[in-house]
Amino acid sequence: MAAVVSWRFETSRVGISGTLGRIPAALRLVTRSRLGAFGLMIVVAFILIGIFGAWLAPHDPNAINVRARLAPPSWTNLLGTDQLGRDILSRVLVGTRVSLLVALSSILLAAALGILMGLASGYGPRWLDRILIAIFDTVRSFPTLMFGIAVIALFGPSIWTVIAIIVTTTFPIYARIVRTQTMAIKNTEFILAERSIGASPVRIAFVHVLPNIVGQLFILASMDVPVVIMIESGLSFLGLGIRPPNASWGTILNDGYAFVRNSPWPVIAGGVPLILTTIGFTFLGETLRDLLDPKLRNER
Amino acid sequence: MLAVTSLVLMIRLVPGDPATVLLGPRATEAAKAALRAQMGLDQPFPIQVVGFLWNVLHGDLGMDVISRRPIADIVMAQLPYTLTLIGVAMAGAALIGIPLGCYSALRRNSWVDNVIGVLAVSAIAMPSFVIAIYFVLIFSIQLNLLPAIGSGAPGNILEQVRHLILPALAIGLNWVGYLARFVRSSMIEVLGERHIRSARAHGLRESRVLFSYALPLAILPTITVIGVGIGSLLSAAVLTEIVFARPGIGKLMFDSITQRNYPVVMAVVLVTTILFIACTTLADVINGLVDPRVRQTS
Amino acid sequence: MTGNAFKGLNVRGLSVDYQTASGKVHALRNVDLDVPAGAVVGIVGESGCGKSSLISSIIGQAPDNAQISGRIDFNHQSLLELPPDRMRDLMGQRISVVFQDPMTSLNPIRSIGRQMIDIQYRTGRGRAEKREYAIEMLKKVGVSDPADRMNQYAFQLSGGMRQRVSIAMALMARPDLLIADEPTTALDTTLEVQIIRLLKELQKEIGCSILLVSHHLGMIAELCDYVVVLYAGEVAEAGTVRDIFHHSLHPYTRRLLECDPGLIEKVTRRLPTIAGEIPNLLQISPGCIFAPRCDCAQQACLARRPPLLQLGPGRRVACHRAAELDAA
Repeated sequence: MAAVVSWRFETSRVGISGTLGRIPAALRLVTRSRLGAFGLMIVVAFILIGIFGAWLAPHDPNAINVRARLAPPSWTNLLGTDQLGRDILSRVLVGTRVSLLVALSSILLAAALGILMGLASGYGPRWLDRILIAIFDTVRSFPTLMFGIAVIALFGPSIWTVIAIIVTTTFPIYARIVRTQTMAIKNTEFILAERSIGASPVRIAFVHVLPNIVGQLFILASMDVPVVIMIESGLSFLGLGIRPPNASWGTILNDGYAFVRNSPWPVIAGGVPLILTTIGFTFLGETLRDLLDPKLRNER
Repeated sequence: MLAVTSLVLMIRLVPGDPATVLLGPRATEAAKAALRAQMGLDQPFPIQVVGFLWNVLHGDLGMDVISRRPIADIVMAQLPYTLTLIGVAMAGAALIGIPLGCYSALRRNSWVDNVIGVLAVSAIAMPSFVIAIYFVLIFSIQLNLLPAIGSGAPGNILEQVRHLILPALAIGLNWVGYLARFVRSSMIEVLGERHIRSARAHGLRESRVLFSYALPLAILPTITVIGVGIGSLLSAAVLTEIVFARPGIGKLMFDSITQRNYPVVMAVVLVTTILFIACTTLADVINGLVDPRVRQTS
Repeated sequence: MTGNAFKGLNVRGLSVDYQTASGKVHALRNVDLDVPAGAVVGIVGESGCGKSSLISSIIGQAPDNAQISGRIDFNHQSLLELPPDRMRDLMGQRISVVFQDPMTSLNPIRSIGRQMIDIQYRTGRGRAEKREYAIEMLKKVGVSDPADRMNQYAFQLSGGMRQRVSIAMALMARPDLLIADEPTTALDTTLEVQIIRLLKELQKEIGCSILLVSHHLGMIAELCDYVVVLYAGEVAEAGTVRDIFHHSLHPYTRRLLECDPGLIEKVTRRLPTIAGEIPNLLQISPGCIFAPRCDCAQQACLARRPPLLQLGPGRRVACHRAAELDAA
């Protein structure tokens, strides 16, 4: 009986509150590295602009003003105007929100799906695992954009199709680590003991599996955001994602590119936030990964 | 195999009637019926699938309804351009990235290593089509150095090369960064292994140790990485072909979508999948030839 | 034969510290060691006693964060002050090393033959000659079908065969000094016997000195002329193999001998062990380093460092109570 009591209080290394408690320390460590600080700054800016951008926009992003088309930056239009006279700055700000929305929803959904699949794979019967792994590997190695274009050709362009494409092509990366972690602790003593008192797989998932990999999931998500943004803006650039006249970095680039010989500003304005955001998230992800990777590498 | 079948099946499950899609909503019922018969859509579904696979195995991808040429021909005509682009991009990325990675590993933690590291990570992060657009902006429009459109007149090698430079660089940049980092960590790992210590203890020259003993081991895994990477290059190639208005299966696919010519789209996807599987298999084969440990078990 | 010139390996006052994130680890402290020409010297100690630091310092492969002081003289030439290219001249020609785990010591994707030919690059032999010589060497160490083996890879050979290949590679240049770092630890006992015999024969034939590091006391007893007992980075005791095995003076040496399964005569279920653990090398206590685990420790032992008592040529003990314990 004493043995049962003792393991109850060990939640396989880190509990949920333990994880939350680690965040301030983690933030401090991240900011210590210059790249990490830069990345964090950009990520925060991205999120803030994404949320509040629409209110900050000086003009209506869809307001057409043909007389002022393709104007260079000025005090009225800080980033100039596009071929229909719309203020680019406002469009970029609104586009940020689109990117944020797509990124957030796709990643949350992909992570959720991945976690589910990973748990099923690690926890369930062998044959299920084998099938799921085959699916993970196939999906993961696919030329995503090609696949995305094909799907959109069939189902028509819309933001939800885009999100669905992204979710289906990115969930395997989450599924894999959940599976690995599930399998790793599946046969340890606490789990066997917990199961013997009837703890449900759900409890095991939330109390034991997930808290240990929260860090890794965060890193994955951080490294995934650039990919997601790239897919969305790539598809929008092709006219297959966000439909005009809605503003998205991809559509701004598309419009801009058609008129790139007339004015470089739309292209610059559309591309720079893209590049900055993808670099920012990548730097953040890299810094997090270096922190989590046992310091063996750095010591020697 | 799984990928091919599932994709094919999925595409066959198009919602709505393909005949209407292709001929437009104003087509007469008779015309639609004729098209359906021609495309074999009036037969039961399993027969369609089997028929399609059978045709594919014989190299027959169907007839393009619009231009009346065999789809296989259309696709094959465009394929070489894409292959050249991807091949050159990856080769360039390897030629630049692998040495950079090695150099980084040898000068570990020096300022050079750190700079290369940051550049590599940035290179990986940047979306290739944006890079492509900026290249066009800078090198074609502002500086007027390199062409922005097309692939150059066939037969004129110099022109073709000039037209390849920017697009290949745009796609390859990601991979330069990725390979540089990958090779760096692979090399560092290998250099820490015991047999390198042994080799040095035998008094072998440092250049020998690095180039004949460490480097081959460090590069082995890159073969597989590159094989799989071809897949991501294909995606990047689609966008780049469109930005540069280059011929290739990416552009073909995009044009077909805008024309709603979905059999061609399907054919392109199929060819892409096969290409991708071929590349990964090729990578495995090369690995088997080069790594004696794998050779033995097979 | 090694010929006329070799004057031995002499280590004086060797101290090795490692700078780590948690502080300075004093891995070796003031170690003196002599390997005369043609002699076999064994280093005995548990893991963590500093054997690897000793060897890496001698062969010039200490890690970057190591701080080495003292002298290591090979043939009256200071190794520590030698530039890397001169060191490389010595390694593989005058000094050879056989490492512990042959699987990881041989390059996995280079054939045995290539490796054996590579290391002959300074000999001036022609390519065919190098190959012949390698095959001869393989034959000498008892590798079957040597010509075929040349085209094989490390993973295709058994553990014992791999170690023989390593020995062959080390002795190909007929070095003055062979350093063998736990050559049989990764092998099972039957192989160990064969390797011991092999080393004995080759040593007699080539006449090289051997610095043998092992915690297998049986191997030490069979092969060595002199023994140095290391504990936690210091020399506890040194002497001829007879002295150490039959008249050991240091309590640690005695306990080691008592605990070695190979030397225990009575059949028993419980194997004796030395209680306690190796001390923390970040903070060296002022007294005798073995005192916390010693069953005859006294106040003086904990307070002061024991002096290294010179009891005769090559006979040293670091213990306050050595004299009285000897009389007992």
